[in-house]
Amino acid sequence: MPIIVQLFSAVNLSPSPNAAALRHQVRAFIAAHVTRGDPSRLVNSWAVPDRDFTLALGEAGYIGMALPTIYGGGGRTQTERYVVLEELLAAGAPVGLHWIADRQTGPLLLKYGTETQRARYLPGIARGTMFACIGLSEPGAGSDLSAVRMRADKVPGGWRLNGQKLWTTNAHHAHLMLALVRSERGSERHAGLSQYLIDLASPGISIRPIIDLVGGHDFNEVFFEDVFVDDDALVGIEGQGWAQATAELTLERAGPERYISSLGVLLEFIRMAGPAPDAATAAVIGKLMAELWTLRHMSMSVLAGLASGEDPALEATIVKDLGNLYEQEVVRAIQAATPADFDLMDGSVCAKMLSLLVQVAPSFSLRGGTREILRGIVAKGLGLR
Amino acid sequence: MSAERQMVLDSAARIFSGNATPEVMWEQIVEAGLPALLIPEAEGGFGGDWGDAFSLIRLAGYHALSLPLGEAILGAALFGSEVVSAFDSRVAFAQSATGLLDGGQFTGVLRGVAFGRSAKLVLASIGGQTFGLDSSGASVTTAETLAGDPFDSLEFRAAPASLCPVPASLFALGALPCVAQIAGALDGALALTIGHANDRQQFGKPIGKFQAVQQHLAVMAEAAAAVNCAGQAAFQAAGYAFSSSVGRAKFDPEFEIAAAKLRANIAVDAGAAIAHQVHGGIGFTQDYALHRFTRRLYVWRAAFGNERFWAERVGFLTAAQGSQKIWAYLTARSDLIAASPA
Repeated sequence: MPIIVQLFSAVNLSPSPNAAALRHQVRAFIAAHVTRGDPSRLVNSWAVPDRDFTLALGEAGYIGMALPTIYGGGGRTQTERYVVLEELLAAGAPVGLHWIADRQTGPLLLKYGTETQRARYLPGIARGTMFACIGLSEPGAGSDLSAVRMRADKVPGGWRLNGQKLWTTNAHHAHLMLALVRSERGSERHAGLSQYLIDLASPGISIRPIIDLVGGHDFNEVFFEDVFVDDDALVGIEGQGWAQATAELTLERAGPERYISSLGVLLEFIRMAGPAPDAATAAVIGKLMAELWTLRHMSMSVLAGLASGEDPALEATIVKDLGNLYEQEVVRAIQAATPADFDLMDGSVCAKMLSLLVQVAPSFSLRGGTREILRGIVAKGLGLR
Repeated sequence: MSAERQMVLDSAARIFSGNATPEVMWEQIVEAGLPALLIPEAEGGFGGDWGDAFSLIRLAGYHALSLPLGEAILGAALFGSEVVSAFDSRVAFAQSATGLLDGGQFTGVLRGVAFGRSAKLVLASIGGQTFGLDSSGASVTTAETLAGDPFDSLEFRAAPASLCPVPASLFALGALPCVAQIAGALDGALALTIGHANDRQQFGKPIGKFQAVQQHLAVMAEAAAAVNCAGQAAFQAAGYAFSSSVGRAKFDPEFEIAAAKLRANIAVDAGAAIAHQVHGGIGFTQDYALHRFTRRLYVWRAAFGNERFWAERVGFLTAAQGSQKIWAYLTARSDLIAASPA
């Protein structure tokens, strides 16, 4: 019996009648608040922290847009939220501080959190004053995430946490960590894991920076030594951490960062090419644009699935892998197609962007889900025995 | 998927998976009214939208069928179902035309006409003008694609030509069915390949258990998924163009069709190669079904614009907008298309 494998069935993002107007508004906001500074900050802007910008964005109602208004959110649709997100990223706006909380921590609390947790954290997330990070990877648990060893031991009134998280983006700015922790002694792999929302100001927590090969500071090591969190820190159901974290990954992978993060260098290349480029240059631009256009539609399709209550985990994984390939291909194709006398170190906008991007490009297929693992997930979803 | 769309696809699937000869199958397709998919119900059609059109043409590709179904459906959208019925729904598109279009007559040669020998209404384009010809008087030179499907040349002398207002170039319109067929054929080849990976045992287990094979299949599935999505978006853009050309400001869906055909062409590279690689020797034989997909994929990749053609086209369109405007251009178009009923 042939397997009908058509993914991305025709689910269109339900049209937002005010999409065009909303875009206009957001662009005006960006023009008023974002100054084009260092070009290297434009690419991968989703990781760039800017306290003032995040606060202004929160005040304007552009964070936590799809969270219910009773929690301080905007009560807007996923479509409207998507319009705002992609405009911010396309403009290279510095959204790093609140990005994780907005993208997944907030929605996760909405889905699995108690009323107390929602009331305590969602308003701050929507205001742009409460930042979060994700506690998943550990020294012994990278691709094999179920090898998590950080422990939660039940004590009166709460839990005692011991262990270490690694590669924690934004931990040095975050107030909260949503961590995957082994809560059942002796449990193995996916079983016996729970999620905890940890106040990073708690005693016993130390955060050490990991400086990357371009001297940037995104990642951290976070150590937990007999850290006490009260019962309210448990998110969702004890022992259901794996399923909850997996659902969170779909949220993480569904966003437009993948294909927009390198838009800045593509736009710069288009600018350099001028209005009438030669055919070879046009072809380079054309291929990158066609993939951008395709990925945008795939990403919107995943979001439409999420918004209608489906679980597009497989589709989100596909978009992440194709998106990472694209991010790396943009860098590769442009560095290959720059003029023959192009000087990577001449301080021009394109040179600054490229010299950063060629160095950080390998991380695109590592962070947020390693390529080979993602492809294993896709293969599993195809009905291979 | 709407219930109506599912019904049309189910009845089409019964036809497509049958063992009828191409001639008989075509009669079944016309009998089932499929060429009138886009025609409003009030006019005797299915009242389907362009998403339905994508799904139906894709299904033909999924069954490795090469049929002028896309041409019939698009022909009906362009000329109306009555005209197309008068020609027994046998519509063809010419990939290229040389000659003279003057005073309502055409003299010249049409080349790259899929199923030209059995067509009765042929669309061609010269100097940016798209026109239709009754091909009953044409002199046909038959040929085949590398996959063995009819791919003919038609010569006309002072044949009456009906100018046809089109929202996009004929070349772009011709690319649309190719995109849908590629999407379906990649899915069909993928299904075949997954079946093989599950069944073929080596080193004591199904080859689908090996990570190298799994990684290949994931890449192929991703390529198929991309074309399915791109194709639907392109058909949606075309649907908007067709609906807007009556009364509203004109919209040329060339950008979306170009991007989708380009994406489809690139996907064929990886998809066909992986399908053959995973199948090993058996996939290379005449008897085994795989070549019915892959050789047609090569034909559809080359038809109505190869990678170079559409890459340059998308690049020029982008450069003309410029770096300051291209993002606004992309988003304005998709907002417009999404806001209108298909």
